[in-house]
Parts: sequence; C-alpha cells; structure tokens
Amino acid sequence: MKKDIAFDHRLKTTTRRHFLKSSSIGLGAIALGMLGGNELFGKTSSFSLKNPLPDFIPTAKRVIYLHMAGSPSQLELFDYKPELMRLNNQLCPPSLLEGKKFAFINGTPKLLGPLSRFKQHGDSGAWISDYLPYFSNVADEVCFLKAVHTDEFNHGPAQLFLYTGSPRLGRPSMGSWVTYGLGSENENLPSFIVLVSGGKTPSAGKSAWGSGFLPSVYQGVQCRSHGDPVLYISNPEGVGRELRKKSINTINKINRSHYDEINDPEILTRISQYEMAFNMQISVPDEMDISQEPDYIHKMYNTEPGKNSFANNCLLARRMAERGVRFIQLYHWGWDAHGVAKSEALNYGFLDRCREVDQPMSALIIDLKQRGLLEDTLIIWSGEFGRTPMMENRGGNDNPFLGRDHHIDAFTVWMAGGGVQPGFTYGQTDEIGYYGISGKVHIHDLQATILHCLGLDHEKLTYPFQGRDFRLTDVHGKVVKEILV
Amino acid sequence: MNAGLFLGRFHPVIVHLPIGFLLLAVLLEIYARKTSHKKLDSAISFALLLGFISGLVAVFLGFLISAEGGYDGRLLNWHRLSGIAVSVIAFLCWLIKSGNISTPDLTYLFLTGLLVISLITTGHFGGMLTHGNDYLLSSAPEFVRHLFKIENKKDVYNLPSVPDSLIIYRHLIQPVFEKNCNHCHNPSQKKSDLLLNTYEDLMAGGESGLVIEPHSPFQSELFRRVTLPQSDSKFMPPKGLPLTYGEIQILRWWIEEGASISARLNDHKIPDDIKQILLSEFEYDTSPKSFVEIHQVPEPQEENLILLEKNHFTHGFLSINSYFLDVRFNTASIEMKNLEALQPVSEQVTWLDLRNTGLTDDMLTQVGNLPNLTRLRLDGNPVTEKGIAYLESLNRLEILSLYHTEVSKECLKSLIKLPNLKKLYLGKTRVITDDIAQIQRSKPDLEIVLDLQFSKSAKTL
Repeated sequence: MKKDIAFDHRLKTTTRRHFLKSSSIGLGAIALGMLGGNELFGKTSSFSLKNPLPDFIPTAKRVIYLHMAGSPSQLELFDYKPELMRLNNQLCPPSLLEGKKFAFINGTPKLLGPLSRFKQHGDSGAWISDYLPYFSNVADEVCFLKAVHTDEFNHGPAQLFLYTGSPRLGRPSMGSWVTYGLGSENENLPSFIVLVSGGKTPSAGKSAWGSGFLPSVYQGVQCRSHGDPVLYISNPEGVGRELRKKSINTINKINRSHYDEINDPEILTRISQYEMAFNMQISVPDEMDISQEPDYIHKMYNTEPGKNSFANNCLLARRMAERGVRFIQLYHWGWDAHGVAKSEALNYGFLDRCREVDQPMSALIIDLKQRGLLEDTLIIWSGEFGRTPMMENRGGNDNPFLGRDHHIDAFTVWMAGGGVQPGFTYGQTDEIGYYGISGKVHIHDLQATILHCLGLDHEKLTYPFQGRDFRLTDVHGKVVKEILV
Repeated sequence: MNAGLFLGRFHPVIVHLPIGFLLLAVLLEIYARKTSHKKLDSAISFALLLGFISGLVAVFLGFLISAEGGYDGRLLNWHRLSGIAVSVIAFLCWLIKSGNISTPDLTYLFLTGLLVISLITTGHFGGMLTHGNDYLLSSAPEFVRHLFKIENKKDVYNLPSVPDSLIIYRHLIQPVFEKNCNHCHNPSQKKSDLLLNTYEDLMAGGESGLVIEPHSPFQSELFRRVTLPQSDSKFMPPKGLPLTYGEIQILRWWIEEGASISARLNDHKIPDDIKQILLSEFEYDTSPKSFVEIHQVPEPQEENLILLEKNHFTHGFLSINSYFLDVRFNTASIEMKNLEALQPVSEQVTWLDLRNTGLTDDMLTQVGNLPNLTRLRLDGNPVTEKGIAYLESLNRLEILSLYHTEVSKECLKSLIKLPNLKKLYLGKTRVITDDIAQIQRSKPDLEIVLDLQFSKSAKTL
C-alpha cells in the first residue's frame, strides 16, 4: 500500500478512540488530547488533530435534542386519526387489551377521540393540529417518524432506554457516545451540554446524560439559565483571574505528578476539567447571556432573559450550535397528561405545555435555517414513549380530567436539518394510532440513524467494558435510510 | 381443520427416522465387514426395513405438506425425486439383505453407496427448502463460499454503481423472470407458448396474445397474472415464490414508462416510491452524491497541516476514508497571511468556515483559489459584492452562506455563474426578496434563503 504516511497520520488522528481500547496509558493520551490548544500550556490549536474521525462523511456536525419529558400525546399533535374521533367514548374492544400491560389503565377503558383539530400544512401536506399553530409554519422543514416504538412503559426506564440503549442504569448516554466518537469543536466549552426547563429534571435523573463506563470527561454538563449558568463558575470574592490561573496551574502540577505515580486516567480527566472550567469562566457567561440578542430574535423565540424557560433554552441551543457544541440536550418537563389533575389534563395543562414549546421550537428551526446552520445541525424532538388511544381509567374508574396512558407501540418523533429529508413523513399507524403498520422505527433504529447522520457507524462505535464491547444500540438497530437525504 | 396439512406438518419430524435407521444400517454393514460379524446381518436387514417403511411415511407426509405451496418449485421437485429414490433403494437393499433376491455383492455395495448419497442430497434439498438456498454456507469461510459460488441477493441483481448505466430491463426486470418464471417459460418447456428468456420473446407474447402493453400495466396480461390473488388458479408463478412487492412495483413502473429494452434508470424521473423500493429491497441508493462523496484527493503533507494550525486554523478530514479537509478559522481577526496557509492544501480544502473572522473583500482572492471548495461560510464578515466577484471560479461550490454580510444584489451577478450552487444564504444582507426573483427563474434548483419569520397566519392559541 502506498498509503503508509497516510496510515501513520490516521493513527494519530484516531488516537482517542483506539487507544481507549488498548490501555490506560492510551487513555491518558486521550485526556491529554482534550488539553491541546489550551492557553495555559501555551500551545496553538492542535485540538482537531486529536479529534477522532467519523466513519463516513457526516451530514450533521451537531445535535440539538428537544426532549418532552413525560411524553406528549401524538394523537393530539401529529397523528391524525378521524376514525378514533368516530369511536370516541366507545368501550375498547378486548382484542386490543389482551396480553397488554399498561402503566395505569385497568379493566376496559373507553376510546378517546383527538381533542384538537387537524389540518394539513405546507407543500408536504403534513398533518399538524391547532395545538401547535407556530409549528405548522415549519411543516416543510421537518421529517416525521409516525411509527416509532419502544420497549419501556415507565418514564425513567424509557428515558434511559432512549438515551443509553438500556432501561437500566450504567450505560453511557447518546451525547457521551457522540462526543467520545467525534471529539469537540470548541475547546472552551463542554461538548455535551444539557438544559432543563419545566420545573423538574426528567425522571431518569442525571443518568440520562451520564457517561456510564466512558471516561467522565464525556458526561453532559448541565447549564442553568438562572443565576450562575454553571454552579460555582464565578470566582469567590477576592479571587481574581490571575490568582485563579496560578492556583489551577499549581493544582494541576500536583495532580500530574500524582498521575505519573499511579497512572489513573481519571486524574487526567480531573486535570482537563480544571482547564476547561477555567476557560468556561469566560466562555460560558458570554454564551449564556441571551440579553445580547436583538429584539426581533427575542420576539421570534418569545424569550425573557433571566427566566428559566424552554424558550430561553431554545435560544441558548442556537447560540451553542453556533459555537460548535456537539450535543445540546434540552428537557422540558410536564407532558405526562394522565388526566388525574387539571395541570396534566389534555385540554388544560397539556395545552399550556404546547404553548410553552410551540413558538420557540419553531423559531429554533427557522433561525437555524436562516443562518445556514440547519444544514449541519440535526434537531430531534420526542418524548420517551407515546400515549394510548384509550382514555385513562386509573383503577378502573374514569379519571376526573381527560388524559391518556403511556403507550409504547406507536408514537411520533420529528427530526429536522442535518441530512434528513425535509417535508417528509415516514411510517404509518393503524386507524386509531395503536400500532405501527408500516415504516416502524424502534428506539435502537432511531439511535443508529442519529449516529449515522453524524458520520458514525453504530456498529463500530464501541467501548470495551467488563469483557465485551458495548455500543449505544447494543446488538440491535438499523439505520432508517429512507428518511435520509 | 385441514387433516392433510395437519399430518403434513409432521414431515420435518418423521424424516429424521429413515435418516437414522438407514445410516445405522450402513454403519452396521461397515462394522460387520470389518470384523466379519456375520450375526449382524439380521439386524442390518431389520434397520433397512424400518428405514424403508419410515421413508415411505415421510414421502407420504411430504406430499401432504407440499400441497401447502410457497416453495421453490424446482428445488421441491429434486427433493421429492431424491426422497422417493431413498425409499426405493432402501427397499432394494432390504430385499437383497434379507435374502429375498440374490445379486452379486458388488451390486449391493453400489446400492448402499447410492443410498447414502441420496439420503444426503434429499436432506440437503429439504434443508434448502425450509431454511433458504444459501443457509448452509452463508456463514462458511470465504474459500468455501467461493468454491460453491455462493451469491447473495445483490449479486443476483448485480447492479452497476451509477444510475446512468443501470438499464431497467436488463438489471431489474430480466433477473426477476430468470428467478421466478424461466423454469417454465423457456425454450424447452414453453408453457402457454410464452418465452421469457429475452426481451424479444417477452414482447412477442404467448398463445393468448401480447403479455405486455407498454404504458398500461393494468392492461398487461403478465402484470395481471403476477398480481392476482395467490389462490387464483391463474396466479403466476403457480409454484415457487411469488414476486415481491418491490419487484411488482418496479415492473409496473417499467411498463408505465413504455417497457423499453434500453431505458436507463436516469432516463425517467424516478418516483419516490420506486426510490424507496430500490433503497430498501435492492440497497440501491439513487440520491445524488455530492462531489466529496464521489471524488478523492491525495493526502496533504503533514507540514502543511501544521502550517494551518500555526495560522489558527482547526482542521479535520471529512471521514476516515477521505483526505478532503474541513477547515475553520479560530480567532476573530483573520489576516491575509493566515489565508495564504490554505494554498498548499488548496486541493484538499472543501468545507471552509470563516464566520465572524473580520474577513474583508481583498482576502477573498485567496478563497477563490480553492478549486474543490463545496461549502463556504462567510457569515458576519464585512464582505461586499466586490469580494464575491473573486469567487466566480469556484465551480464545485454547493453551499454558500453570506448571512449578515454587506453584500447587495450585485453579488448575484457573480453567484449566478456558479454551476453547482444549491443553497445560498442571504439573510441580513442588503439583498431583498424582489432582487432574487430573476436568479430564481434562471436557476430553479438553487434554494435562496433570506430573512425568515413566521407567516402572518401564525397566531397564539
């Protein structure tokens, strides 16, 4: 082969992934890679050289994942089922209930027709309900997956399943896998950032953005839109930037000599996180300061600087995308519309959630598009599962408000930008939206497809742990090529 | 209840009895001959008789289960023949062994050998029927696969890599006939006087007239026959596997487009459903490939990459199999001498990000010298149409972002000359909607994105 020098070069460029497999010394080299280009060491940017390369040419360089924690009803938003409307209030036939397990439904529930009104929008004719008036503007930018299904019917396990590929704790999350596979585009910011709104963190807790058995340098960093964007990022009173720099230098020197002694790679993670934190003291407050944005942008997103809201987080997501953050994960809590209380009824609390997300998420698409960033940014919107066509009857009695139970067999996910076909609908559910009947996409397929857009082969992105190679998709997953450009 | 089918489904269980009995007989025979144990003869004869009887039962059940249909006809035929042969030979062997007839020992030995061979072939054909043709060897080592010329589905269709050279009839239609129809419609069998070996034969039709009506699939007898309900006596093929959904759709499309012998995939606009079928059933991707996916460039020199880094450029190859470079400038103040560092790798640089770097018009002369540039971001720089004029020679450029720059509609005069430009971002510039009407008319495939906002109809709930 004539590519000897090339091969040599490739070895260098793929060090992080490959060395991780072989030895802890390699692991050190990787963590050191994260330090490259740092001003403290007086190096110029050699950062990208240390970044591993994608398996094939990517169509997306970064991901913005909008997670609706609690799982919204696809039947009120995207999956239009006139037949279900006709069957409204009729008892569910036993054939649909036999052998099924639900989180709360007991006995024979009634079917519940869609509460919203649907219309087709855009040239693509996508069905979107009047619960999302802003979103109907961007129908032609979005690719709908109508028949997604999962294995888990409770929030925590289903969220873990979606993000880590396993319903149990301990596996790395999607964002960790992606940053492990592709490295960072900005050495002054974490490459995996999490923003939470809606008053609560998702049920799966911080494990949804944990790094599992990957080195902890790949875990998601949660930023807050209220107070210090990252906890303890400000210097304590009386400590200036010079002093902070000196102290970090000294601590790192001690850490490094400790590392030379015992070779624990987590020490290198610690060193690099100190460096990163020092840079973040400048970069993060700037990135998180949305008050710099012009008025028309605030109007577009419906943002109010200083508040914790999904709208602010959407605008932040765009600012992070511009700065090269690799994986931006948003969670908005409060979609679990069982109908037990007004705050979670499909015609009250659920509607409030729709109002909270409709404008900003649509604005995010439009804003990224006009900046040319939708070209290489992949947006994904989903819950952790869907909702039943049946009205929930907790304990066998009708709930006080209208609501739907958790449903694993069919729900809608949409994607936009980064290599997926705009204005396209893939998959179909039956007349009442109970099962997928064509174009079914399992959670593992969704994961494989997201990695594919980023140029990663989900079967090759592995990490050896406890005697075997693990991957995000475990032993499953098929890329949904039909939705790719 | 369907008694025949019910019993027939015991065929896979029962078949193992003759296999065991007869192999045992052969093994005992070998053992007896090695050790001169004459006493074993009655045991051998008993095993042969059992083998014969269980073989008969297996054949009977086999006939019952084959009525169910859905098997590859040719294969089933061979399986049936060799299965009957096993019983017949077992019967002959028993006759000899039990002393009912006497023949020379050599004949008996020959028959035993034949028995083993027909047992193995019957078993193998049976396995192929239930598990598929390449089940046994699909996981075999490469040399074994090579030896037996194991082909997979893609090889059957053997599609050329570029849509330009894919001839619909030859690559997609004829292989279906060969696979599903030719064992009856060939020069030696000529069922219904219809031959499906060549295009001419196909178009000549059979005893009931033409089978293909160009442009009207639903008037074409052949299309009607393969799409009838499978229970219909006229359904084709009567034996063996029916055509797949994808094969039928491609047949329909081909007839609709005129059923030509020479039409290539790209001669017609490919409908979306056909694209999907080509992708999912034939793993054939018809989507247009971008320049960087088709072409390769030589590896850049290491020192030139270091030079890039020294000039504050971040860079990476597009993928592990490509030497095309994705390059980004890192600081807010770029200078001419930084851009000069791009020249030694001018062939490789294909994605270039110079957002918010303070880039000015004269610096674009350097950017205009990068022949393989496909994506260029110049957002947030004070560049005007004067600088854009330097980009006229970027023949490969597909995506250009000029968001938040100083360009006016004059820049469109230069940009219209870019043959491959697909997306142009002109938000927050002096270009307005009226300015782009003309260029949109002459280049309908070019998507121009100006400032975007929600349409008036968007209202709150």
